[in-house]
Amino acid sequence: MKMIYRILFVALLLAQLPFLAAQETANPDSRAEELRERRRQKGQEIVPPKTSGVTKAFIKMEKGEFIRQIKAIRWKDFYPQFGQISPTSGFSLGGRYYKRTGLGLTVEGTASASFTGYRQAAFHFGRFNQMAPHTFLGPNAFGAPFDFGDERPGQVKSFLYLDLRYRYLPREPFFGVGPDSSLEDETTYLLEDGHYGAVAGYQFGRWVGVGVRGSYLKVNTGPGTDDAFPAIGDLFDDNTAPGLARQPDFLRFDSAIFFNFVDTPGNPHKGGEIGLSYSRYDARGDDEFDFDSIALDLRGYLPLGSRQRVLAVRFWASRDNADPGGRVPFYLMDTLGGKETLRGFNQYRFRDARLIYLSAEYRWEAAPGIEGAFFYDTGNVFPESEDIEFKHLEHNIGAGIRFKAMNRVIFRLDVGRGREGTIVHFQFGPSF
Amino acid sequence: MRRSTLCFWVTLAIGSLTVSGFPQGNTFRSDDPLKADPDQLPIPQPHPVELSQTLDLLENTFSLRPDKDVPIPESENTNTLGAVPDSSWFTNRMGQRVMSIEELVRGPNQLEGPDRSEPWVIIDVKSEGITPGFTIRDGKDEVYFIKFDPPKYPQLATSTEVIATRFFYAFGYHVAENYLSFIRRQDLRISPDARLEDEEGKERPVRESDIDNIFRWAYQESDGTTPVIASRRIPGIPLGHFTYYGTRSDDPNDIFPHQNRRELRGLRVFAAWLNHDDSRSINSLDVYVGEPGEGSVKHYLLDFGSALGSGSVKPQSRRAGNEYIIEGKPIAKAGLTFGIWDRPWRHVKYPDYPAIGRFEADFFQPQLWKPEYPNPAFERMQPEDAFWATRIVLRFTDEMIRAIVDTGQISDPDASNYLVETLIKRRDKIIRYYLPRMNPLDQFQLTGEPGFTLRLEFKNLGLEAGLASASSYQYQWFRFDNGSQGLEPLSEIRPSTESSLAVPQDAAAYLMVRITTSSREQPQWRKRVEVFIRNDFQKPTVVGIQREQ
Repeated sequence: MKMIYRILFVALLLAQLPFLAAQETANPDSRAEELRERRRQKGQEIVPPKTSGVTKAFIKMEKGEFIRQIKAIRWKDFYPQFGQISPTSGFSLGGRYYKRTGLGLTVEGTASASFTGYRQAAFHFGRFNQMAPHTFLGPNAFGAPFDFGDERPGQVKSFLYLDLRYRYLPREPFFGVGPDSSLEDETTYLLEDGHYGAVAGYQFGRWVGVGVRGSYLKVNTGPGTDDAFPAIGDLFDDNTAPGLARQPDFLRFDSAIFFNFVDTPGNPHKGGEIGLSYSRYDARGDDEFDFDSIALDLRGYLPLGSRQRVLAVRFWASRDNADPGGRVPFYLMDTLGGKETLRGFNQYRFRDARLIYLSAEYRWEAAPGIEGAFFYDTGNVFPESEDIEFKHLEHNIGAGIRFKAMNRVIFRLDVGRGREGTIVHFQFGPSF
Repeated sequence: MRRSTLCFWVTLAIGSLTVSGFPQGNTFRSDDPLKADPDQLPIPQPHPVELSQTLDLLENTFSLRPDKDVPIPESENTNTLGAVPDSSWFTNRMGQRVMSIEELVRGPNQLEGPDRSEPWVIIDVKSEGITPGFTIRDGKDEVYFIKFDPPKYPQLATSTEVIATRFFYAFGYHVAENYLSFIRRQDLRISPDARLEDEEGKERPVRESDIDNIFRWAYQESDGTTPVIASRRIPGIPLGHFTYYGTRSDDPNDIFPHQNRRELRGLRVFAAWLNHDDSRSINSLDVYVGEPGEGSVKHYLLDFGSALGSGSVKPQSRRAGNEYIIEGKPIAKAGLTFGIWDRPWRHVKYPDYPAIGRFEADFFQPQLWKPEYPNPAFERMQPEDAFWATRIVLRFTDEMIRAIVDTGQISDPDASNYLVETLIKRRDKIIRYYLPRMNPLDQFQLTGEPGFTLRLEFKNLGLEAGLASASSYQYQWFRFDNGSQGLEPLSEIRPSTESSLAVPQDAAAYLMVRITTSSREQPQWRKRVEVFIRNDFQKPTVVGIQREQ
């Protein structure tokens, strides 16, 4: 019997233990104990933090992992390449070889093609910046002897490199030469060229840069492949499109000097830029197409009482001066119209030996990363300087919205309206 | 019973209802007022979490804003005096006592700085991005993160980091030890294991030229030394950033939603004073301290490089402190008026001190100050949260501010003086804005003999701050029933011109006195302050303070 009582006593004692334990830990009149109890309760319902797929994607993006992953898509030193070959090429895909050598020299080779049949290949070897330059003289023309970027740690100030390029552009628009060309005369032509030369330059701080280029230029033109438009030969001949019949090789020399005194390169609100270039084209074995070319590009940025409002003005003039009795080939003339100039007109809408262009933009920042703009572009091309008449200038108005990040215009949407219609441009990078 | 008092009891009642197994009803517990929150109970190590800065910006801007139709709850982690108990988030320093100049100057620093007896060994390099820097191990095996001044703005980032760190430490936050050091390129060696990721995303060994490039970028003194901030690695296992909203689901100690923590709400006042516009999750760190399974989470504020007039590598942007990155009204106003409406802060004039950047006090309005993007805790700050922070700000004398600014070793005395004057002006603006919004009676204490000459003494912080020339008080004593919250008047409403009231002799376990303050200049001081006394004959205690909001 005693044993039964003992067992019952022990059982009762054991049954009380949790309560006794609770009595020990939980003082009913203690704030601290109340908080401990809440924490004990939460401890029983612990949930590991979940990171959603969206969060993971954003984190990857912020760490640059997407870019790294894209960069990591490579075989040894070969990488994929995406972009555009020319403003009319559409999206292009290709590959790139990039390798730095121990002497501060870099080897770079690229090859790409677009879905519209454009092709391009390039090879660089020497000392050059990998970052894209932020300022070009003139439109983003192929072969500009400029390579000036921001000053960053590790970025080279001087550049000297071998520059070999080949392009195959099968549907470049051509409307005729001169100010009176017609939209109805739109044709396309094949431009195939190769530049084989070297570039050298030096950037003196932020303010001044100089560059020179010497190259051998081979050009071939032919009928365009765009079925929507006639081929160039259907509407034009060698008289109306100088150089259409035969394309000599050229020895080409370019030089440029660039002054930059804007407050924030890439996102200027104040200051200006001046670019001046001189080029010489010597046709090999054919004096008919020898010519010089000079160009002046002025850009000014004026805050209107506040950095929020900026008046941006650009003046660009170029003059191609053929040697006596000679002509300037149509495929080497500067052009107006498109994403960068005369935005109410088609790409490459006007071309001739003389070019004058003025653009004014009223820009206002609605937010640090969002900018609105109203713009007015005017300009035209002329065969001779004495032909320049302001009443013959083409005009367009327009409006745009620009999205900025890291003091750069990342992309912009510009809508230009001129006498030939309304054109929408979606473009990466600034207008000027 | 007035609405605010009713809210107080309802909140307390709901609070006690949520804790099962405890008797209901007692307003004050035996251990009130709580000096320390027991939030460092041993827990298993939580999982490290990563934060997306972009999502943090978007969520805080668009989805975590307080609902205008829902009343904002009072801060949840305060004790019955309205103070913030010491915790894994906060240690009462200046809030509890006036720190000495020596303590303020030393700040969080436990050492004299990184050991210089041997060359520092670089173990990691951050050469890309906006702020180049690297990680070193010194001769005593301590790890430091090294950051530089930008070349055009000598002392801007380093002095700001040093000064702001000391302020935030004095406020009570957990911060890293930051040392201002002067080094030479030849004082550094590269560890064979040090690697960096180049611009192509390839990992490679760190080269001497990488370090040369960083030094080329950084500002150098005329004697060839380079000033750097050496930030000592915080002890513990990093768990990622804390957020200013919600709680950490795998930390049992984390029971108060962060947006309802008084020290995080009140941080808005401190951040406004020091223009710490980067007060967001990305600049915080949770670490697991203690042995595995026996440790707990400690919460730090990090990186004060974007404070005062510094924007880390350049002066603060003009927007800093004035407008969120994404703020609907100004965007719409500027956008729809084609820029004709202009932001007033664009026209603020700043003196040209490269070591100071953009920092000023004339345009500054504490109530309008804004961080980079909405902070859920800041947005829920209530007058009592602001009052709590303001009484800490009030304790910083001009001399203390001068001493802390001197730790930045700004070589231009004019710049240094300007910074001191600006901080003093901003401090005074904070005091002038927030103190008039509450009855500013504080520092209640009992003196004399219990049952005989016991008196309740207090200070009028507003009078001490010179916000009024004179004030008088009306008060009424009550018996207070701790269980039922019933009040029984013990006296009529009486006037007093003194900040000392005789405590009535009564056998009630708890007494309460309701005080209002009359001041011609400050009408809002009429708001009630209710002070509760545990009428223990052996040791009477001020056990609770309730302020009318």
